Amino acid sequence: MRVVVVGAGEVGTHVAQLLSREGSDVTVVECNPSRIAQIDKLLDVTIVPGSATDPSVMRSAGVGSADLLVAATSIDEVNLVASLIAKLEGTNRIIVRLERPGIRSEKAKALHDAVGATLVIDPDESVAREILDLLSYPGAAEIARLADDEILMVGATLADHAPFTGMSLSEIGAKYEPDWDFIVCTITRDGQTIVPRKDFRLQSGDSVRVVCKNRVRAKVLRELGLETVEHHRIMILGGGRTGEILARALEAKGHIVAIIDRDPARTRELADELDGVLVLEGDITDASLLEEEAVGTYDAVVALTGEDDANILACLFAKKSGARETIAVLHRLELRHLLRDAGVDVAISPRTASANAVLRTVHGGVSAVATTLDDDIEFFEIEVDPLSDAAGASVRELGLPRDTLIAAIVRNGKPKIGRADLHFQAGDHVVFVAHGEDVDHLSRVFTA
Amino acid sequence: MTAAGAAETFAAERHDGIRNLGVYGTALGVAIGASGLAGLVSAVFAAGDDTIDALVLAGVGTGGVGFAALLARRPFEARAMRAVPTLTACVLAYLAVAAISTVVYLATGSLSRVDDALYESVTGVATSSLTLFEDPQVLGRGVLVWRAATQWIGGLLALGVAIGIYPFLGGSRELADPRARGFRRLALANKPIPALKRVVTMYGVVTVVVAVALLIVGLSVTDAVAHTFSSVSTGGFSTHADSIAHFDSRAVDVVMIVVMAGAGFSLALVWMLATGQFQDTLRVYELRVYALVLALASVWVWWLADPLDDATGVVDHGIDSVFTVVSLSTTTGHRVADWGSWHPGAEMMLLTLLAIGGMAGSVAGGLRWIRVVGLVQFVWRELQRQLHPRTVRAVKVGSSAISEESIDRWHAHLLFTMFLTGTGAVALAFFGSDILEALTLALSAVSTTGPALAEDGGTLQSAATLSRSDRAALMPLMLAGRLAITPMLVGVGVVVFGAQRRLSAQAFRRRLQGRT
Repeated sequence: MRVVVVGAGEVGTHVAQLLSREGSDVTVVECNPSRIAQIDKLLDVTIVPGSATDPSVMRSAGVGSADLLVAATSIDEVNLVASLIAKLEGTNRIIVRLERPGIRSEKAKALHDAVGATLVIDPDESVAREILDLLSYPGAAEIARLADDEILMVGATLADHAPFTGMSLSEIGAKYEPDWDFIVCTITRDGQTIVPRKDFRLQSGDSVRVVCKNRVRAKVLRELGLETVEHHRIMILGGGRTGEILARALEAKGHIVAIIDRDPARTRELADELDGVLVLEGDITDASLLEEEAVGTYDAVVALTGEDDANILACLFAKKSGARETIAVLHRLELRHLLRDAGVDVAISPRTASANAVLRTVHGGVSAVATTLDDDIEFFEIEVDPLSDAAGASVRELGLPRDTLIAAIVRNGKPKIGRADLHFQAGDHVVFVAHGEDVDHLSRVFTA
Repeated sequence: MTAAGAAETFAAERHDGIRNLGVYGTALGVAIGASGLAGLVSAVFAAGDDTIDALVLAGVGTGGVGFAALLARRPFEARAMRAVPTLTACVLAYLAVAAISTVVYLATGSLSRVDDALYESVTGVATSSLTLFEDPQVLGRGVLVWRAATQWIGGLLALGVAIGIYPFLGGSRELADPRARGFRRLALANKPIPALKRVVTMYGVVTVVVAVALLIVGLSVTDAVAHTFSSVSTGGFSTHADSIAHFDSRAVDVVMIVVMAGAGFSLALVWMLATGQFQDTLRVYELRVYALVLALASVWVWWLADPLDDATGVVDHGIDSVFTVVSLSTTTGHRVADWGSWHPGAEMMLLTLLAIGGMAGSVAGGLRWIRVVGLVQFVWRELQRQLHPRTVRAVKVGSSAISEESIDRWHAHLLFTMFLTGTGAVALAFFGSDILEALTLALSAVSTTGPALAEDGGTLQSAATLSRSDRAALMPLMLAGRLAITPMLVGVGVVVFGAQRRLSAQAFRRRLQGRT
């Protein structure tokens, strides 16, 4: 597949990396020399220097023959113009990043159609949704909703007191026979992620990803040693767009919300827009401010400014002061593994949520994708086509790639955890766990 | 300053003065022209009456002068409206109508003393109901209509200032349209002239509709027209000594309740209703507060006034309670019962409502509910700042954030109101009123309502028992209240500081001449 990615920012680079890893032929259009130098070292992609609003630059990037354009700069106007050029040049599928609510909404659909947008993505909103999910499952490090919310992927670090700690997967399986409601899909230990076998024994500190039926999530959360009581008092550090979307959503759900930003003009805007939210003006690394506002009394503290250092410092301070959970949005992820021990419970990146949406479009029939930051493992959902090789076959008969796991299927709206003797039927929604490079092969097996 | 510079300054001032002629011409032309129209309408009712000559003369004379002023202003029309001359012109317009009315009372022989005639005229244009006439039936029909018409003109001028002028001079836009925020389009119009035209049109249409409604429920033509004028303007003058109670008709009471409550509505909302924007209208927070307060206050007053111990019966007493609540909360002053003899809790509630008045952008006087809600929010913000010193919180009325400039103005307005009420009460007490009467009279005058709690119990409905010095103290309070205080202060300020500046300029010129 030929893909042109416009903009080598955080989102664009991650999308280019994922697609390149999956075997796509990726070209990146970028005008910033330092970013060009950065991705040249990092990725195996073709780079076209220049502005994406220049038709000649876009033509030299090959938009005319591209299967997909991802316009992912942080400037809506640039993305719209790049999309329009791609549409005029004949690109089939166009994904455009738009942030301003006025041009993102359904009311602007005519504009989306005019530029040929197949999908509109907004990293800020995606991050806010991801954080909302995390706040609904205190202690969880990752949450992904699959198969119309029937299936949930929960990622968490095993605590000493967690019931799973010290048990092997076969022991866990035996405990819940005959009807499994969940399955342990991946384990990350010492920086290595594996799809574990049944004799694998879980330890405290392991990062575990479990796929479960949504209706039994409380039981699974307990087994993982997580709390089942939702956070109520939440402090948001950073009043950017993500913070605003998050604050509005939390306030609507009845949470007590405080938001801090250092820009006086922005805090006034937030105060105008957000009813029932305590808006505070100040620097999130100002310890006196955090003390004054009793940050330690909050159930969760979410730091999402554009500065990683500030986010980490504020989370560390909040954790030391007594906050139950801290979540930091990080843009540089190299040291994220060290943060948990230091006091940052969850580190998330704006890139993954948008990348998942892009991958859904790339894989066509796939209706949900969850990628992870630590590894090339993808959780994705696909519908079994009646004319595919998979229809009527069992898991064993298909001979799936190594480390591929059938985590669950949803048949006629009812979820079922995957087992080796499972036979696929047309219309089943299958949730896979697989390496990125195997996704394309699996898509072919399950679609006509 | 050099001689050439001084000459340039004087030339610029002269040029400004010429441009201001257009503003003064418009304001005075409209006010005097409206007085002429009122005179002619009154003359129709004075047919066969010995006041007809004076009323015809007043109608034709003032109408002609007003028309001439409007024609004469054309060459001097300014492109942009400026605060000081415009607000000064508004004050002068009020004073002109009061002066014309004074002459009419004297010319028709209704009153023989200039100060009495001036008091009755100021009470009229200020839409207060504290009349000099204990029994208005001593007046001819023509004068009764004229008297009510002065209130109609006062209401029109007040609406014009509040909706068509003040918001465009940097005043609070929220007062013209409760939904206004930032640069959002105002419901009526976003420019002064179209806004003023719509104000006049709507006021006129509402007047006709109310007159027809009152005729339908059985009032005579004179009563219907006079009560229409004094109700749509929240004036409160009646043609009878016992006001609306005279008609002894629950149908009239109910129609008057609806009319008075409507007069307490923001005109922007009336426009929205008239143009079919029902959903948007119902979402207006101030309207919800206003409606809720009227309902709760009615129940409160009805309950406290001991409905079971009353020969009028529960339902009739309920209607009396609602009528009184609506009449006083819209600063109208019509009455069906002597509320001054009710339970102190009910009286206190009524006085509070009277001080607050109706919605912003309505013809009612008082502090206005939008200001009250905004100031309560402001107090809440200050309390929150004690707990969270670095909190940033917008003062909101409903979901609309009120600008900090508006909040500052509202504080100033509140302080001015308190200052005026306090000063007026001190003056009235000095002239012999007891504390209760002095305070309630001053409060009622500033809110342009009129009635107060009398020294000897009951309601003070007429100024006949007040001394001349009391009335002299009440007049500036009523005018200031009607003019929404700020324009009044600007107007007075212009006169005082203008004179001061002129004296300084003359002194400077003399010094300059002495030097050369």
